[in-house]
Amino acid sequence: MEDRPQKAHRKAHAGRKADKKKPKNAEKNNPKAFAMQSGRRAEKMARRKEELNQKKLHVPLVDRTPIEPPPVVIAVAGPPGTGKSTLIRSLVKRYTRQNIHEINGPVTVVAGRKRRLTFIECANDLNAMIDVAKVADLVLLMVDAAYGFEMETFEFLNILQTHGFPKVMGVLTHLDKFRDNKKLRKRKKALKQRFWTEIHNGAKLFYLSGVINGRYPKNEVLNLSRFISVMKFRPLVWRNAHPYLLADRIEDLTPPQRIEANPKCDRKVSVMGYLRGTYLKANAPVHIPGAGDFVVGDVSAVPDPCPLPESQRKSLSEKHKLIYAPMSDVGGVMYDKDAIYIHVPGNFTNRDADAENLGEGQKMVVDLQRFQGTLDNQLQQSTIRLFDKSRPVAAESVRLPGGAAAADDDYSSDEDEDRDEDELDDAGSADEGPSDDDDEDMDEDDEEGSDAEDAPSSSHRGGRTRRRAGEAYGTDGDAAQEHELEVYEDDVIDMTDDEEDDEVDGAHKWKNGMVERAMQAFQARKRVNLMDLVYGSTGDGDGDQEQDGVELDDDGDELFTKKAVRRDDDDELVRPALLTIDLTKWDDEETLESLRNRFITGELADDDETAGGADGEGNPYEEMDGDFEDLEGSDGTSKLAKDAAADGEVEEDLTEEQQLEKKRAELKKKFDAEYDGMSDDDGNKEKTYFDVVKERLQQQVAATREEFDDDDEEARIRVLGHLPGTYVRVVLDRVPCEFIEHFDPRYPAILGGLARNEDQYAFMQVRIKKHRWYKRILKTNDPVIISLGWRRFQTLPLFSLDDRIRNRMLKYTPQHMHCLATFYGPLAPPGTAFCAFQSLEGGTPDFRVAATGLVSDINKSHEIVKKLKLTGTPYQIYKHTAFVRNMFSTSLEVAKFEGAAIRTVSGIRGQVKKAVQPEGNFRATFEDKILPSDIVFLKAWYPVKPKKFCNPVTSLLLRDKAAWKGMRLANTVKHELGLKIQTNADSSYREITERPEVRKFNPLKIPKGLQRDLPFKAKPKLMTAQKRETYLQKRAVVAEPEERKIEGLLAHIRTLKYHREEKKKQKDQETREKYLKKVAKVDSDKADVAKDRAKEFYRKLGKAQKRAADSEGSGGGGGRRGGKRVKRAAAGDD
Amino acid sequence: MRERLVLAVLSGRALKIDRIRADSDAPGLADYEITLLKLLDAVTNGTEVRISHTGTQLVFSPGVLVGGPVDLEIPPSRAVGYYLEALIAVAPFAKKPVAATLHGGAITACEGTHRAFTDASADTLRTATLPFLSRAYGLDAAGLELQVVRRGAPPLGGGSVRLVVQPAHPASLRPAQGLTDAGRIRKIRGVAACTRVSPALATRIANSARAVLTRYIPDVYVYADAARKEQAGASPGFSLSLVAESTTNIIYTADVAARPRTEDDDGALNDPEQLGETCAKGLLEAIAQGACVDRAVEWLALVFAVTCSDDVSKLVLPRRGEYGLDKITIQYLRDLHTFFNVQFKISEPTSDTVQLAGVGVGYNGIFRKVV
Repeated sequence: MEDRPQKAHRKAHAGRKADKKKPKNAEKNNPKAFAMQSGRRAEKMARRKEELNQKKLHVPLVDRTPIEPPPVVIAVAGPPGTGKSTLIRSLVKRYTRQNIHEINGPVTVVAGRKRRLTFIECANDLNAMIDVAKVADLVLLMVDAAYGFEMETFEFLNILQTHGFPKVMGVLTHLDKFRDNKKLRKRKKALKQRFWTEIHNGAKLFYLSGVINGRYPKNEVLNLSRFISVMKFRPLVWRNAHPYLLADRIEDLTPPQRIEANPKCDRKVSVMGYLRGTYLKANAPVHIPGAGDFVVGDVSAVPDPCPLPESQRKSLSEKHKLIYAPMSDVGGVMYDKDAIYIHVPGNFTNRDADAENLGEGQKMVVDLQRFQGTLDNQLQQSTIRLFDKSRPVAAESVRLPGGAAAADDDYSSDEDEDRDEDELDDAGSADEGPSDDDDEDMDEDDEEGSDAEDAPSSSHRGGRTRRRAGEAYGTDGDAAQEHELEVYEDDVIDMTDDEEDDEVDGAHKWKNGMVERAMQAFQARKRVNLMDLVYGSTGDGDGDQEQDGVELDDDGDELFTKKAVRRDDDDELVRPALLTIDLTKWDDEETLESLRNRFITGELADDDETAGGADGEGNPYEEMDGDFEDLEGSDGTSKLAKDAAADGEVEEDLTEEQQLEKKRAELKKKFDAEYDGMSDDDGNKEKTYFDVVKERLQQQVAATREEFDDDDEEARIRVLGHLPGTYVRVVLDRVPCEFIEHFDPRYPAILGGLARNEDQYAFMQVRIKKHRWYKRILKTNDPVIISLGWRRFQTLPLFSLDDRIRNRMLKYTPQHMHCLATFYGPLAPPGTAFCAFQSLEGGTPDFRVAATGLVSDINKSHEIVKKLKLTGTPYQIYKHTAFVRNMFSTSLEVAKFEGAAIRTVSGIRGQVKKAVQPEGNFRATFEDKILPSDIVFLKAWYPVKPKKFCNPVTSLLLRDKAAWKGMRLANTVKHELGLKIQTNADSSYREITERPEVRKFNPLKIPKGLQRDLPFKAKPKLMTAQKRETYLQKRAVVAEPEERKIEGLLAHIRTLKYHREEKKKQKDQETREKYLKKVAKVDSDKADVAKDRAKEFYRKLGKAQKRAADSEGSGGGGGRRGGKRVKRAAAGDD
Repeated sequence: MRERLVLAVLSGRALKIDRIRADSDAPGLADYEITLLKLLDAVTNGTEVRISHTGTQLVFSPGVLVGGPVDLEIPPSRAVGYYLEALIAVAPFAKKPVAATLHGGAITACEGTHRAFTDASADTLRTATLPFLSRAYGLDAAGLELQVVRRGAPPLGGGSVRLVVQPAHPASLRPAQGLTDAGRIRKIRGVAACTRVSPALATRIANSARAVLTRYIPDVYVYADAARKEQAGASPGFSLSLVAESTTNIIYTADVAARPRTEDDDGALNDPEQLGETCAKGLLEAIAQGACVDRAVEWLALVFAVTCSDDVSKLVLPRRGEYGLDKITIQYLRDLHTFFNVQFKISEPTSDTVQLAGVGVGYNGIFRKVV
């Protein structure tokens, strides 16, 4: 039985099973089922489909994703206690097998062959939430399922929406708290529905159950990571047009002497991170949200600390699973203020013994130390920066020729040396209770350090050596730039000598190819000489300009001075007049003939030589020929016909008609393509206008890429800037010292590039809508904090409503309507969305996003008006003329309003005529005689100017980032000062005593003569009451006996009916009372049960909390779940 | 100075110019420069111009480009081309359409004293510059309209032109990428105009120019435009503007106007035949240089290359001067660098041309109004 081979499966060709396999709804089945049955329905369906299609349409955006894209920024956001850190820890463990204890700043990991991820944790502070929303590519929104949605979640979603809406994935945690499966299911469903309404139907929501070993279950994290790895990202408008980087590391480069002299001095800071968005150039203006505007001093590409693997294998090898988290405590690397500490196992003295066991990076450090004396020269120039234990950084790679700037001059190597020494001292003093060992070591190092600045120092403690690697990136590059070319070459030679002297072993691999690279750089410098001529070489651009008589002088404060020395009009020469050019050469026949081939009548053969153009022009040329032939028929004695013949050698055997036919077809095709671009070459596939535009955009990008592909690095950086995706180091000058002193890695530092005009200030008009969930309406000139573009600033908006005639000021925003707001602030291009807050502080249970909107217009001044009603009283009244006083105070004012329309309360219209004495009174005419008691109004519009106030939110400069305080709200000020709301006594209602209650109106008298002439219709028809009694009034009515009988019977019946109804009503009421009693009893029973249950639940909860508090108090707390949960979203707690 | 003012307006950065003709006999700003400042003030909102007492120092802080209707009297010292070019450079980026009417200047090409400068004629702008910009940079051709209402000739001018430019949509502006292939000349067009002289002169100019050019191609049309009575300006004069167009839509221009004889200048040009011939030869000279961007549109081409989009624009210029680029172009490139922080990649594809490739700063339509 067992040896017998199994029979192959045979498909059923007939019978029930075969029928089953048959496709459903095959032709024969029931054709009627799919025929159109209702025209209306079909039309509806078609319309719906079209609507859906229209919804999909959007303005095409250029996809500028570089070939090697920067890591995807994954922000993990959520209220405190939802497990953000736990999730990051689990994901990092999943990707790199490393444990991170504390997550400070971005954590970058290599996730796959083509994908790197940067995780950032979003702190529970509005400032951090806003900043994170601006850079995140994917947001993992953590929700405590046991608790439900919280306000922070919705606030964050709203911020995301206004800043481009990156991808959002919800993550439900604490699912293990549910004991009851049905409840869990119900809760999941409810949360999912709410989440979907907020994002879109079908938005991904992930479920994470309990925590095992401080991490989420492996399988669930694996699933989540799979979803992350297949995620696709749509380009976002703002980020597509601006370069930006999320700072991985921030270093203070200020010389220590300066800090010592003045600890509050402005700092020079280098910021490192992956460049994203578009190209970034040196001297570009940037904004650091929370810190201010800066000008990029120098940008240089530095080696990628977390490079993508070069191998094309599908899975990552262990070696490529890199992690880069300079501000967190990862593995052996510890980041500290201005240096990196590397944990090296073992003792300092026996380093040689276990050199084999060391990692590559550690080996290099050890190696460097060994060659301290001999590498002297080299070390002057080179620096090492170490990260992880993976890849050593070659010194020459920072010698990118483009990386230097004149601004760096002051930071010479001497200072560098001093700084390092200082650092050594610092480190020494920082150690608690410096042992003898320490001191000795320090002394040694100081002696050596005088010439070998980068020599690593060391300190022993407890069998483990903690060592610091010097850090002075890029300074050598600057130094090299200062040298002449010859010197540069000398350097290279020196280095080769060194290399020959040293043993080139494995650890020295990083020095390989240094010469070649240096030579390459040298070649690059030679090649761009024409650019140097125009712009000056990278360092001394300004000097070059001075030679030409133009002197540049940048004051820094916006005014941008140009001192032009102009001698004469000649300087302004744009084009030389034709008369001044020597045109005599064109009298020469030969010269004239030489130009022949630049015309379409010229010879084709030597096209390439003379025309200076490529052969690519062949096509239009051929077509042009065709045109000519069509136009001028076959009088082809000229060269035209000859050319055409030359072109179409292959087609010679075709008859003329066929050729014409073919040409016509071609022309038609070309016309079609040009006219609508709808059909493909084959004509089968429809190409929409959208496709055409998108293709064009993509071609542009490709052309740009192609243009600079084969260029050397330096030229590309000068023209294009640094490519997104590169790891760059940006040097900023004049950074406030607080930025460094109070730097907290938990709050992201973003370097956002500013486009043209975005560093300027003007009045912006925006369309704004108060958020539906915000409880108060906003008041004109009450400060709001606006997050627009990269920036956060506080400003005073002036609300208005455009009624098509004028822009009318509003005191308050409408409840549920868009209105306009005008405020002063840094510009952002129209169409940019923003969100507004009244306060950024936490501690309120309410929703904090006050309004959202869109920039619509930018101008230096806007015309906004408010209604002004001037009142006056008449003091002398003639027939149509009245004299009015108390409206104006001078006759000049009256003169300004001459001819203005006025009216009285009763609606009589008039006009201001002329000023009269006393001052301010005027004569006016009306369409009718006005009353002395009338008040005369003049309706006018008064222009309102928005206030010029803009206060950037400088939260990053504070020690406590959440404690930023700007201008107070009007009601806060009033409350704090104990002021009452000012009221105008005139505006309050009171009893009117001046005028009599009842006014007597005289009857309208129409003169008899006039009445006579009036037509009947217009004649007053006034009739006095009739005095005589009417006929009916005079008579008494007596009923017949028959009638009286009927009346009596009906009365009886009615009485009976009333009685019956009364009885029924009573009975009904009794029944109802009985029923209500019954219901009340059931309710009270239920309430008792619920009460008992709640009691039990809270008792358990209290116990659990107490237990947790106890354990936390003793254990020291792994997470920061200090935030008290005060908020509960109304929407989430169904 | 004109170019710098335009760049200041476009980049929104304040500009200070010192020692303007400080050593000259007529120090300070010239009347046409003042008029240009007025013109720029008229199309912007919030522009501040401070000129020192001597007129040798100028502080110009530009406002927001608004556009709108402009009606300006211009002095006849320079041709309208001087103002129109500046207007064309800024108008597409304005909030509202610019509808400018300029009266009083010369319509024809205008040469300063000692032939220091030539301004493009309105005809060249209409037939060459505007089509060039719409083809190369995607400006809407229907939104560019230039109309010569009245022809004026130097020295008294008295002409009147009307320029209407619709604001460009950010999506429609694209970088110039077809300006690398010169192609071959396929047609030549021209306008021979005369004012307050015999209409026959225009025909004579046209014929003389045709005589030079028809040896190459038959497709040469020179329109004769004789302005009289109310269509003519204050002084008599005649001029010719020639435009050659290649198979790849590259244009070459030449522009000459008659010069009356004056006491201090003997370089009079008042023979119509000679003028036609000069102009035609000038056109041949332009063609022979083998560039893809004519001198007349060079600086506008550079402005648009920088302001249009953040992709690469490529322009091929003829090799000129000692280093391949002449002083003005170099200065201009430097100005673009200082105002916009944009550098061009300069290469030499052939021995007689220079190629500039630059990436624009991206036009985000900052002054546009969205509803």
